[in-house]
Amino acid sequence: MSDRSTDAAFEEDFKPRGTIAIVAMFVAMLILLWLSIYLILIVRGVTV
Amino acid sequence: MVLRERTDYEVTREDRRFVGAHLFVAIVALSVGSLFGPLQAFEWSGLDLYGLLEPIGLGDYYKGLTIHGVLNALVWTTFFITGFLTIVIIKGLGRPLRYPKLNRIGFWTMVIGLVMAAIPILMGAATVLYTFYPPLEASWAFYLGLTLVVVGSWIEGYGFYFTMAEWRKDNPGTRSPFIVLAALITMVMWQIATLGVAVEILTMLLPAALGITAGTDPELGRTFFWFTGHPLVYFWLLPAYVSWYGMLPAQAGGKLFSDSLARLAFWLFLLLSIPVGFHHQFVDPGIPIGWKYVHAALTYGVAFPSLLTLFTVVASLEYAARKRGGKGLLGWIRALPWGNPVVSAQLLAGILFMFGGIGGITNASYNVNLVVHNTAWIPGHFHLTVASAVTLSFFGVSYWLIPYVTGKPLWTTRWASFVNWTWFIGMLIFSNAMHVLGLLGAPRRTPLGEAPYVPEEWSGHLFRMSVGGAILFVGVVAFVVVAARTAFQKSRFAEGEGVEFPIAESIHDPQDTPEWLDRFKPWIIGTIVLVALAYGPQLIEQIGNAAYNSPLISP
Repeated sequence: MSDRSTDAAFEEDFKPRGTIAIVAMFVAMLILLWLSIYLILIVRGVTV
Repeated sequence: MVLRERTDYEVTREDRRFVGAHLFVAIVALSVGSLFGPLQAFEWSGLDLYGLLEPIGLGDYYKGLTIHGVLNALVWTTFFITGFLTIVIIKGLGRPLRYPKLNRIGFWTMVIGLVMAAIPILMGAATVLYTFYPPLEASWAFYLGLTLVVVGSWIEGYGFYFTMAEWRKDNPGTRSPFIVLAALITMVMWQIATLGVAVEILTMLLPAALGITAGTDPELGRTFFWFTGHPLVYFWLLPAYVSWYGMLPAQAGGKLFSDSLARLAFWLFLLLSIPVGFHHQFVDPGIPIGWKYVHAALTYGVAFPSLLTLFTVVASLEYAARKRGGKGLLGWIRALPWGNPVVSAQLLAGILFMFGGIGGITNASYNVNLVVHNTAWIPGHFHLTVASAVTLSFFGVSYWLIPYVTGKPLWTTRWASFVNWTWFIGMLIFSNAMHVLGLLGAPRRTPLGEAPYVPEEWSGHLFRMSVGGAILFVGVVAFVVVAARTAFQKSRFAEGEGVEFPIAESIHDPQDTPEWLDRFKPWIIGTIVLVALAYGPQLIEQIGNAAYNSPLISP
């Protein structure tokens, strides 16, 4: 099989599953860190 | 394929030297500016080394901070970017610049501007930090110098447009090469965005510094500044994205996952990166809260092309890694060529930028911003953007671009890898400490070593921050050594050897990309309309109510 057809087959089969997992982890980390900032501020209480 | 024919174009010796001149000025600026980084960090942890610089007139904290900010954030970036985009245009289009003299005029205008701005800074006549907010006063030469740097970059941009127009005429119906389109979008965005600071300098700061007007309007000045100030971040970032999207996949052994998504992300950055400036002015009393919310919402809009970038760049890397035999849901990451410093610099920059993105989205929320505004959080954040995503990526680009323009091999792969990891580790420590200090209320732009109010709970973080700063200093010194030894060594590539210009092929034929993603007109019109809607009413009101009666304060 030529390089070109091997490439085409690889591209046809390629699904970026790992990428989707990384994006999902990033979004989860964003939410958690964002929430943690709010929690820090709430725990600290009202400042005047 | 057309792409291959384009990349075969041999860049002339003159053009290589021209690009090299940009890199030279950029790296000299980085070297000098970085000397003051650790001094800031050490001062915060109680070790004041500024006294050592007193004999040469550089013993002032704020003068040091101004030099650090102006040279690293404005000069290193602008010169590197204009040089990098020049080679992208030439090599991407496979032709010389249409009017090379025009680009040379642009470059020398920037150099003259840099010298004009640097002299008053060094003499202590422009200690106004890189944001130069009125009513702080700098010498007229500082303002004029900065204006010339910006105008010079515009002129270089015009040279790009003429070259592109000629290519379009010769290639009707052909999709423009992605890296060229992305470079031009970056320049268009920059030219629209810098109108704000141009108006601020020419109508307010320069006349006041020359004594033509009695004072300034600080509120209006800040509005003009942040019209430019936030998109300035994208002017730094987008060239790094040019490399991440258009070069890194090839360097990692793969292809660009989606040409269409890459183009869409750049167009959205053009559309959304300018009308967001009020998120830097959440605590400014003269701007109605409604407009602050409009800009806050648009700021979250920028998160969309940022997430598109995350997806497309990582997918391109996953493609490369799996082609190299990588397996597993995440195990493929190990299969990336981490031993290649060109690649590892950009991978580590991307990892740091993930944290920068999270911090950016977080501090764009109105109530969190009220807490972290003007605290150490903010420099902690922008060290993850301009000093990580941008600077570390530019280090990676330098490792192939300096050999490309000089014809000399990289000195050495091992040292370049050392730079990358040192910078990565230093920045992790430094930026984390800065973010925590910000949440604890530590103010930015303040010599904390002299402050009597520093509580005990800050001290550990201040120490961590200075350790991170010291590691970063080692990293930047090593980078300058690598760059200098590469450029000035005697040995050259042997005949037939050299660096290949990296252009990533797309998995799908770019010719299949929809035409609306290759057309400037609708996107530029959309950008102008959105900017007019988001800024117009407030600018009319602020200009109508402007009172140039705030006297200048010379620091």
